[in-house]
Amino acid sequence: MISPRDDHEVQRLLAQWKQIDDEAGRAATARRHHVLQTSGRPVDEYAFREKPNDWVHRDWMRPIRFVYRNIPQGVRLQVKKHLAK
Amino acid sequence: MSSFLFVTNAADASPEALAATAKSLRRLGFTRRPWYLANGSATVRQLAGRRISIGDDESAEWVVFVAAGDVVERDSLHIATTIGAGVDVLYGDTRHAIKRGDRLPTFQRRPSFSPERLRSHDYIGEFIMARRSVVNAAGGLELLANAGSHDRNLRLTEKAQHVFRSPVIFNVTPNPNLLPVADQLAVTAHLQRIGIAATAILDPATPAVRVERTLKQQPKVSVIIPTRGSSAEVRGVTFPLVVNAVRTLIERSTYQNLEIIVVADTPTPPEVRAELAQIGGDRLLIVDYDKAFNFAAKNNIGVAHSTGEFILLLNDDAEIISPDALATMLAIFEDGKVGIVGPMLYFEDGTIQSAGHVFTPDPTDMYRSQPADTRGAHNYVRVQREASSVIAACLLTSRAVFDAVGGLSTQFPGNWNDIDFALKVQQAGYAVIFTPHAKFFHFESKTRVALRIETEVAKLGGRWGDILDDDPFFNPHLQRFINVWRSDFHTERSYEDALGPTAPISSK
Repeated sequence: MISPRDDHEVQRLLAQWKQIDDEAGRAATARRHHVLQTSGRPVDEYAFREKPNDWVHRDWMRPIRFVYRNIPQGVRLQVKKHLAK
Repeated sequence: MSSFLFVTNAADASPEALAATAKSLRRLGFTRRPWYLANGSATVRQLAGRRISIGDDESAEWVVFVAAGDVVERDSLHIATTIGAGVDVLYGDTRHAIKRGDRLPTFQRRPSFSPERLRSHDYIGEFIMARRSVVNAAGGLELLANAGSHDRNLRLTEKAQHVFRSPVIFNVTPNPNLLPVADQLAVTAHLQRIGIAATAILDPATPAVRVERTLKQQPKVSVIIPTRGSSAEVRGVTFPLVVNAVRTLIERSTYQNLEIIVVADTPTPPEVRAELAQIGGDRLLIVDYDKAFNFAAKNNIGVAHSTGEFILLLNDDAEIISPDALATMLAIFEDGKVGIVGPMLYFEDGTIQSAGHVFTPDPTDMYRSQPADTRGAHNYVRVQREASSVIAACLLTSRAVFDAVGGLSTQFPGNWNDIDFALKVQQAGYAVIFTPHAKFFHFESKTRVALRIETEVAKLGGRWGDILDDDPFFNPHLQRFINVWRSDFHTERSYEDALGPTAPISSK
């Protein structure tokens, strides 16, 4: 079996890595803040987005869809033509 | 002077295909467009006329390579015009103008520039834009116009300072083939040009090229295995997982310059320790761990006790499959710019456990639970490629990289320490590579769902939130919250679809 390393050496390495990780964390946080600020997004606490943006089924589409279905066919075709471009 | 020179190889192209491309060039606006037709016959030159001049234009800033029959989207020119001066090669997504039964459009959504993936197959495709200076440095217009797309894209990206992917449709193609091509000769020549000592092996069934690098030395690999000494039933037999992990590694691996550091929780049974000592012999060290569970800390302690030049983090419920897995993974480090290599992991039943991570934004094991022979969208699963992260159940890194980034962050005791580690490694300038050519089992429960602790999410997002939301090796137009590479048809519905007599059903 391999002999274990000296405990002081192990503790020194762990402390050194912790310090480097803390610095990397601070740099990553600063980088993220910079990216958000330059793109005009708010810097707030992060949370995973829960739902995809399924705008097709949003409530605000319902009256628009209702109006579209009930306008004269000619107008509807013009709208359809315009949107298909 | 024109900003764009369009280049098409007219050899074997039908007049109808060339006419379709010519029509798309005319529709780009009122500017007269120069169009260089390699191998164009006299009849092809009749395509010139309104808004098209046939021939080279050396004053053009951008050269746009477009296949005969493809339609050029105006957005591509707009992006090239507005992009920063530092970008010298540009590519985007492609829409295939083919009819599918479900009437949904078919896209090739591409990741950011992935040089390793480009060696495996031509994921960039026929349509690419490059500054004239890069075209000249890469061999000139005539050579590139006559080259196959894989060869051309390798040559252009070799000479580029900054290759940029824009997640926008750049071209529409009538080509029904959704599988990227792979040119073995082009890859071999590319490897020679950039000085990678490797053999390019063609897998014609995929198609893909495997770049098998030559392992010049046999450095020592320290295998770090954190464990509690638990037993589990695998293939109908119950045994201590860590014993199986160590035994299979020693018995199956062709690479044997190993030392094995087992970081054992205090409750690890003495008989397991004894069995490990017997199997591992003078290559084994068991380090006791008596603190509260912290996966990152356990690995760090193991690494602190190790002496190898390379470090393999291995879960105790893993098992090597391909005997050359370690040699394959080690050889990838011959590049020098590689920080982490992760293998293909399988469940006990042979389905995929992880083919690398993607952030959707939830870190996701790609193609989890899919059959072993899954090729994935555009052969995604079958090619060696860059990934944003790989699972720490089995990853190889170098000691120099581990030291440089401070190991695994103990701020993530349970989840996402591998994600954080991989992102730190990339920030330090190293690549993370997933290889399907090294295979391991990971006997994780198929139904296991990573416990999501909001404080850990906030901590991970505090460091890397912008990358989680926009994974460079993903595409913003792909469906999120799933583990396959699939176009997002729900949020990509057109207004016409949404307004139609029947709104699309969400579950379709």
